[in-house]
Amino acid sequence: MSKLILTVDDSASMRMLLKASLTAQGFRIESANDGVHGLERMQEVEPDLLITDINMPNMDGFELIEAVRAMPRFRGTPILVLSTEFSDDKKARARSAGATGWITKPFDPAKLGAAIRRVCP
Amino acid sequence: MSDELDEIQAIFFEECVEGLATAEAGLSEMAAGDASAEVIAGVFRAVHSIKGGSGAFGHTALLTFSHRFENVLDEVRAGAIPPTAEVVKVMLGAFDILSDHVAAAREQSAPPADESVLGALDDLLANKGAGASAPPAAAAPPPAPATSPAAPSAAVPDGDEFGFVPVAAAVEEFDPFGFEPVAVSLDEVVELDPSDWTVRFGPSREALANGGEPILVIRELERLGGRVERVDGSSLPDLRDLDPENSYFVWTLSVPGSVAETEIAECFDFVAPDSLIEIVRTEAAAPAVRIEPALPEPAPLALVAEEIITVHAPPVAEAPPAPVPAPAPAIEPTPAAPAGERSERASDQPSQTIRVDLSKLDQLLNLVGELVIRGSILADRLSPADQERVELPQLSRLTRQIQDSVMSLRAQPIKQAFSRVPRMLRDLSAETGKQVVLDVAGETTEVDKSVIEKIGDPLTHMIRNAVDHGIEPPEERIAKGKPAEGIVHVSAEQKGARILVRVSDNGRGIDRARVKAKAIEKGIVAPDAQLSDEEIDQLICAPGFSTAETISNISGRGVGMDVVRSNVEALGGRVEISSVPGEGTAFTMILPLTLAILDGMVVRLAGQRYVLPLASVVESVRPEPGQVQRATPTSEVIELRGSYLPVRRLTDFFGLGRGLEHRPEDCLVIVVESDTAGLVGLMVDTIDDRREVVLKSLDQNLHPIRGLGGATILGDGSIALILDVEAIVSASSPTSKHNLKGLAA
Amino acid sequence: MSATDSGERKIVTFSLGDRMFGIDMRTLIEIREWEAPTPLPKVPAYIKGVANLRGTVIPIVGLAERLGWEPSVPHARSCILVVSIGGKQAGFLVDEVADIVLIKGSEIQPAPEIEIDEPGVIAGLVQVGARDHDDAANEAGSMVLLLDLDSLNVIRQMELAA
Repeated sequence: MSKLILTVDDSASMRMLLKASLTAQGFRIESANDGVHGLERMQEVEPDLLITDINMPNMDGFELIEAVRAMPRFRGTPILVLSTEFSDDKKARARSAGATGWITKPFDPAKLGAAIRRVCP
Repeated sequence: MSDELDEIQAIFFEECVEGLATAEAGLSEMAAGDASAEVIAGVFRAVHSIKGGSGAFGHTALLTFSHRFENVLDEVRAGAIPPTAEVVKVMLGAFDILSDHVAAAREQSAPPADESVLGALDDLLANKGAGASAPPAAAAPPPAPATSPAAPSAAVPDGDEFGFVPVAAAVEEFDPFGFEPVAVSLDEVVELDPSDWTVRFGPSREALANGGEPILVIRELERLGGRVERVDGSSLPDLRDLDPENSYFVWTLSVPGSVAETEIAECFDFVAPDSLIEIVRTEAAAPAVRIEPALPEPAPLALVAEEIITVHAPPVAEAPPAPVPAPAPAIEPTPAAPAGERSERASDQPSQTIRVDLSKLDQLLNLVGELVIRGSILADRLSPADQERVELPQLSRLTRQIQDSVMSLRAQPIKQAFSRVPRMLRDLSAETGKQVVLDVAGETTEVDKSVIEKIGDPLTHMIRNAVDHGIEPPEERIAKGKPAEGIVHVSAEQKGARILVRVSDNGRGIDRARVKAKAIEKGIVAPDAQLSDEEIDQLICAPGFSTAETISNISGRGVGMDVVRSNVEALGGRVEISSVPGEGTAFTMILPLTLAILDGMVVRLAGQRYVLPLASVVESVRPEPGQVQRATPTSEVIELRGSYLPVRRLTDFFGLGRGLEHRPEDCLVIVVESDTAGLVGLMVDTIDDRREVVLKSLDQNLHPIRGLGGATILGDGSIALILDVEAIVSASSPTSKHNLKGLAA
Repeated sequence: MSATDSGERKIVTFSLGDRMFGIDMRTLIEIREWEAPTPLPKVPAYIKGVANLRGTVIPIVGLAERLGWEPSVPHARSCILVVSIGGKQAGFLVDEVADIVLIKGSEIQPAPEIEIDEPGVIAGLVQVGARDHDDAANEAGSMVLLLDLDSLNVIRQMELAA
């Protein structure tokens, strides 16, 4: 079965873009539009990988990652941050929240795919 | 597929329209004075989303512009750029251009001319208070070579099916989480020796906790031709001590020398940086890249700051690089010493620096604070005989030295706060027609970052005040026989554990008759009040004294020197004013070196623990019966070696107990020295302890409460409130310094 | 923002005395057991003190008193709802947390006239079904008063009081 990825981003176009480019690479995609929905979807679909944006209303990416990591069953689930931000500070925050890696938007689909395979074989 | 892309792009533009509406609404609210964090965050997010999509669809001009706009918004959001009317105006201008950019991208027409707005945005960034002079650290580098306004908007280029352009603006695509700072010293070692690489890899607990899988890294290295030579499991504990979520192994691999180091490093891109990662040429002795385990447990998010500060490091000689190159500990463990000493030491050395994320320093500071607390608890529990052992004082001295070193890492030259002064003076000069020369001294004085961040506003007001009210117009100066150009001196110096920041001018001095008249008119003082010159000068800082004349267009709010005073007091400092008519005025802010740690006395009031800052404590007295007397029906004094000091019962002040029925001889009187009321006795139930506490702000979630300066979390996790001595003695002060004099005489 | 939010939202329901209240799930940070906070001097009685939320100092508010009713007396099932209002965090003392329910915007009825100090605090009224795992005796469901925490604005009240 191909890997199931949950993408969380408040921008519909970004969600669609991710879905289109990742399904083309053989991944299955679920998506959510903010941290709160992301957390709900996470529990419903139990994906192999979570890709989340940082700046989102209601619950941001940092909070989402922390919340996900706090759940025992997602302790080992890789989490990638996909954000236009790239400051070391933000990365440090993401890391301490429990993120596995960071990819800066805009993304190159092939590289994103490679990055995904690197954390989630 | 291109249909799908078009469809998605159409949605993106709809989002842009929504985003623009959100941004505009937010900016209008800001213009109307509501610059709440939420409003700012909304504007930021809107622009941020536009930027994100524009990159994905290859709208380079829109991406570049929105990125630079976002940088400014990020600083506003972080508080580094105050959302003043001027700033909001610039942002509204930027918003207009952003709308034009969106329209241009949508219609594939030429992007709008945006240089002047970008210039204004850059000015905001350049003038922001904290970290303005720091290297391009937190503020993202401007993306992309500036796009020519005439260039057609980037059409979706060819390439892969989605037409993603690796847009130049787009910064690095993958992040090797936090690798950059360390990679600096590579070059010298690398190119020389073509021997094989020895790679050591010991994943940290965090690496596993963050979903990292070591076997994937090893497989990748194997793909590069690597071979596992050795697995060191010597740190594997007994089964019953085994933490199943930790990793106890260190792999040693050899990788062919022909493989580029970057290729090897890439395998570790997603490995948490506190893992052991070593990549060395097999024959070379010194590790080229070595990342030692850093700190455990992330700092609470609230403490994570937005900047990265530059820390001076001693030269990394032939010895293997130290994990955290800290300056050698100062010999003298006084809080004052390290900052001062360090500045000299740093200048002796070739300037070698590493960049350290501020959040890491804060984390270190928190941990050291905890260490100090635990150390003192431990000391308390030891028997007197054990306390005599030489190890304990040594340990506490070392702890103290570590704390000082950490504090000194946070110290920054005050230059940062001064950097916006020249431009401000130019603007003021242009605005008022007065000629002003700036003279700056002591800008290398080092102060804790927390202080630097907070003096920007007061400094701005003091300078504005000097030009508005101090310096005379050129004609007037010439008529008085003064040079046409006035001088504003801005200086900083360290005096003990305090920093003095002074703004002085050679203008007309305070017109005391006018100040007094105005204070009477405003009802601040009684018409028949007898006031000394000093007291009249202080009126300038009295709440409500500022009038329309002093409304500053720098802040856009009607604020004056009273705000300076309250800001400075909130920092645990005070403002001194001295003025000579016709010759000039000097305002001096006297500030603590740091705001992060406080030496305190833990006292009990009605059973609850409070912390009294030790800096203001003179002595503590257990009163004899009769030593505390009623002076007026509502006030008491204590007789101390022949003089009388006013006494405040803190339980009364805070409404905690019934007070006067309590017998003074059952209590303790702590004599404190205050700026506003001289020596005052504060009555507490008992003294529990003396310790250093890490200051937590109360007003992060609460409005300030008069008499409380903050809170701290004690070793057992409970909260103790920190007393604000100045506020306590100056509030509810039935016995002022003056009528007390009469009483004592 | 997207089809998934079309008017649906989750609320946390809880009781104060014999009344049921609800707040939007999105404002909720966490639910903690009641533990006496460190009292603060010179604040209105409804501010019970401050507590340590993972290194941040947050105020704890007696919600019943804040709404002008008899103070809740903490008991074994008392909870603190830690919420974020306008970027600030605060904890509310409530009698008992009941459930998390999904409601539709269309189910919300206008706020009734009830004796409350704070106009605008009751954002509306909604009928929630009995919990399916609950005993069926719990009839058809109950009325939940939805609170608008923003207009409750504890923080601003504290400023006025301080």
